[in-house]
Amino acid sequence: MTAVAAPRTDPSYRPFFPAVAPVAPGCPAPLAPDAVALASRLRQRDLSCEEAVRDALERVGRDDGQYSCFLGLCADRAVEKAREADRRLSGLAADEARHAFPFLGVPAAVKDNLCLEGVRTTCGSRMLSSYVPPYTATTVSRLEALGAVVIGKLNMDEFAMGASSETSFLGPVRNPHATDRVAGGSSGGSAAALAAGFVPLSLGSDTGGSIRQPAAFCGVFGLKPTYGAMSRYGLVAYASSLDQPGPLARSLRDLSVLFPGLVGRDPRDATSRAPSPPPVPDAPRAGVPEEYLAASTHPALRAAVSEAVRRLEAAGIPVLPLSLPATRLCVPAYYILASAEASSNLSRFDGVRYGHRSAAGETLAERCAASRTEGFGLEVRRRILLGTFVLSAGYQDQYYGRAQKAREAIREEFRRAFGTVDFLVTPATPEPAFRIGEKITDPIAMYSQDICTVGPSLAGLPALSVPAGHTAEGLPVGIQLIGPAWSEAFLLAMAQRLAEVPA
Amino acid sequence: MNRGTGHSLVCGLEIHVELATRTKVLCACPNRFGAEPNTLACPVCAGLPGALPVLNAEAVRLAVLAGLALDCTIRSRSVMARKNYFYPDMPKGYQITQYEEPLCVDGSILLDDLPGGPRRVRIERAHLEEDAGKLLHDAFGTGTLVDLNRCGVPLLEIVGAPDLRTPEEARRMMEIVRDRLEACGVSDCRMEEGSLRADVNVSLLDEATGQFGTRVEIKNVNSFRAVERAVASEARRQERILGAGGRVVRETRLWDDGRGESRPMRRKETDDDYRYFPEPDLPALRIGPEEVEALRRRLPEFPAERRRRYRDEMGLLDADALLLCRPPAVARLFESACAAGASPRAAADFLRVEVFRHLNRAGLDPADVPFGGESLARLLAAVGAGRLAPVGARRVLERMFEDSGAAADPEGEAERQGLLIRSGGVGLDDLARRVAAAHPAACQDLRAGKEKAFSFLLGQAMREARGGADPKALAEALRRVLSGPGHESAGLTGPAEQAGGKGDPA
Repeated sequence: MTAVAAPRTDPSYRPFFPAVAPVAPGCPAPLAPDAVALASRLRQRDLSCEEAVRDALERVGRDDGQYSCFLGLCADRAVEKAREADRRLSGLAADEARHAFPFLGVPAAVKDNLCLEGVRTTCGSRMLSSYVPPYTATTVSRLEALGAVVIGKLNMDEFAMGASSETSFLGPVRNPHATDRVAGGSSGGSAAALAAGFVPLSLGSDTGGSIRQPAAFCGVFGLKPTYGAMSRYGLVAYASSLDQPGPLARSLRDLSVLFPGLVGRDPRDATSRAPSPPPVPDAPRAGVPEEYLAASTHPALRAAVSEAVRRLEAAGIPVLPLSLPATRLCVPAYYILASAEASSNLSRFDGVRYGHRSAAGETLAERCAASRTEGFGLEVRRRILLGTFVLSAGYQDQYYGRAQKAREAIREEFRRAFGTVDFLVTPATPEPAFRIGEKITDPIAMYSQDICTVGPSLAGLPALSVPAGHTAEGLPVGIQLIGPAWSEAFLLAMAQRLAEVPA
Repeated sequence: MNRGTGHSLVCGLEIHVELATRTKVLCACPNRFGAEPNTLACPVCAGLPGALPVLNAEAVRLAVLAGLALDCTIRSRSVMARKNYFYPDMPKGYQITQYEEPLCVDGSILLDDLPGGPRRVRIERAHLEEDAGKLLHDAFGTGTLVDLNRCGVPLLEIVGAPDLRTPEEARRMMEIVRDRLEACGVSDCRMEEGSLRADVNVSLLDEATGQFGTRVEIKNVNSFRAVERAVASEARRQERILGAGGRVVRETRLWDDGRGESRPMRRKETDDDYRYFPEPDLPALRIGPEEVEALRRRLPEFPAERRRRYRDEMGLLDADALLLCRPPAVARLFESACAAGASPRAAADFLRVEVFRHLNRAGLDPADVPFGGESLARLLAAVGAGRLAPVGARRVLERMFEDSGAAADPEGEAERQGLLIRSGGVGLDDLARRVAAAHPAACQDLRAGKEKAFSFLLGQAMREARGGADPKALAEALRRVLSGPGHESAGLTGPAEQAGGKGDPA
């Protein structure tokens, strides 16, 4: 295994593969290390659900000024839900509660592109700065059906377009590990709120890496499920064929308990499906695609993958080097397809029925154009223009058509790889969290951050972002485990194996 | 159609049909016409952020059935697509439709009943799509308002090939499409409610050079007659332009039926760029051959065949056959009456004269008839047997529309109303005596030899009998009574005559 188990190229890399990720240094210790532990304390009536939820609200109120994880809190609703949880707990045996509502009373938060009835849902955009949806996203309903209490809505890149959570109209999310650094994006608030210890569970959405990259930047776990595993109903669409909601947590066991409760066919989402996990391999084999290692510009990421390989081999799991040449097509194909779909998905924001309406313009067309120009930020406008262009007559075959073909090639290449190995290990990002402002003016530099994560998105495959240590400066680095469709439980088990190998 | 200018007409229709599903095509809102604005709208209809479409399986089945009725090939895999454009009646900023891979392709229909003999015209495709909302301009003096009720109503767009050569053919195509789709129950096909709409494309072919002219599209063509008139008017307009050495401009025009002419709506110098792409929110539509065959078996007899059968096998006049072969409610009523024993010609006459008159007067639709053909057959049996006169039958029919008891037993109803024919005897004599007693002056005149007085008395007696008496028998009874006690007449007229001279040919 010389190719991938090469000596660590970064002597300052500090390996760390926790099963339960700690909060960022300097952040107040949470009530319990993870959601499962907190739920257990609540069931033992060690403290009440209302106390736990009020504690979370207080932490956010006191400390979130430093990070801007939240775009809004729904404190009254949350306290009411917490009281309901307390009443429910008093009527249930602890065992019953654990089975029926594994996270009863546990505070959680959701990305602000997931609709919650009666609670402002802005998508980090001026366009929706006063939008209050009349219905709740299926995924949020399912989270609440497990007993979790949503305390608020999390900051994000505007309409989930970005890799740094800097394009939000209310300002960037700051990384709790280093507040001059980005938290990643677009689900930056979802990852940072866990690292800051505000809540133990959050929901994000992942279109090209938007859960996995911020999870890696913030040192927490983030799961992008198989496309269709979690309902998109109530998730404000960015790129429909790629968007997938997913959970983030500080522990593997939280994800193992949470994920099965969030998945399943939703009659309101025609692309959702019932899970059909493949058989679990008796003797799993891992692969490390060389293109992903080569894409990592920071040595700590390559070192983290080497350490993961060492641990897997120590656990008796063979690791093979392999090549996925279509990886070079991933970022261009992704930006063409995602922008094309975005240009169409975002055309409903015309200021006619809801959303920002400009005072400028005489005619309908002028008013609509002014509302969109004022309501959308620069990056959103850029992608709408790009997407409109690649779908235009005369250009569609050259761009959108070719990108679809590239997507098929990428899908096929993963399919072939999973004929040889059972999962892939890659860096989750090319580099650790970069500085706020460092890439925001350079779209190409920002887009190339997605190189490690867009492949599984285009192929609709599940991928898990796993904390894997730190750089010399203490910035978290993460690796990514990619599996065939519906292998989420298997990926979580493999991550557990990594955590269990002695350092 | 050579109009002496060296040009012949080339016309193609794009027909939109609203499918008669219970719910809309992409959400669970009721699919209903005429409700208060925005009462049939949900987050999906309103294009709210995060809402997703889900395709209605019934809409797909009806679309397949319609495709089969138009002799189309049903594609086992078809794809929903987005057609992107901004308009305030379309909340998502795109219409969900089909583009490169439609559900139904390569159909045709036979245009019959044309002076030049039947002609087959091709159907290029028929695809499923959602309707848009409606703009209400200045309804309250407040500018334009949007009604989203129609958003997501399922539509089938039928694209006819440019095979039509006369305005009459265009109208006939519309009628046949209506006949067939109405017969399968996929739509109520009401042009006046917009559930059947046509866009008319017209160009002129230069016969000398074989060159096709510029195509002009005409919208807002809302009746069968308007289709014919709009095509003829547009052909004349283009001929005038070409005749004056002008050039036909590519444009969309709006038909004004009141003025009998079209006016420009928008110029189309180039094709609009709708940036179609496959709808990522909806998986490709797959229909197995078994499902198609099952639907094919559900295809009904179409009006054209039915008309032939009524004429050739049931002995109706062609005009009656045409009148009764559609809409389905009429054909059903007629056939169930015949099945219950009514003679086809008597049933046809009664439907044409009495039932249709009642429907027209009451402003009812044939589908609103509250009784079945069995009731009609019973009523006609009473008439046929001479127990009920036509005028009495009309009264009973009116009651049958109001009262299910009357509909179940028309003869009993006739009896309750005293409408059953009194074929002589005490009943008629009593009546005659009452009339005589009520009009002593007329009786005196009659005895004085004034025969006009008899007509008066007979008229009074008929009125008293309210149609429940055979006029001949009543006249005899009157004579008997007026000329003093005498022997009773057994004179009865034949049943055929009673029913208005329309006997059972069978």
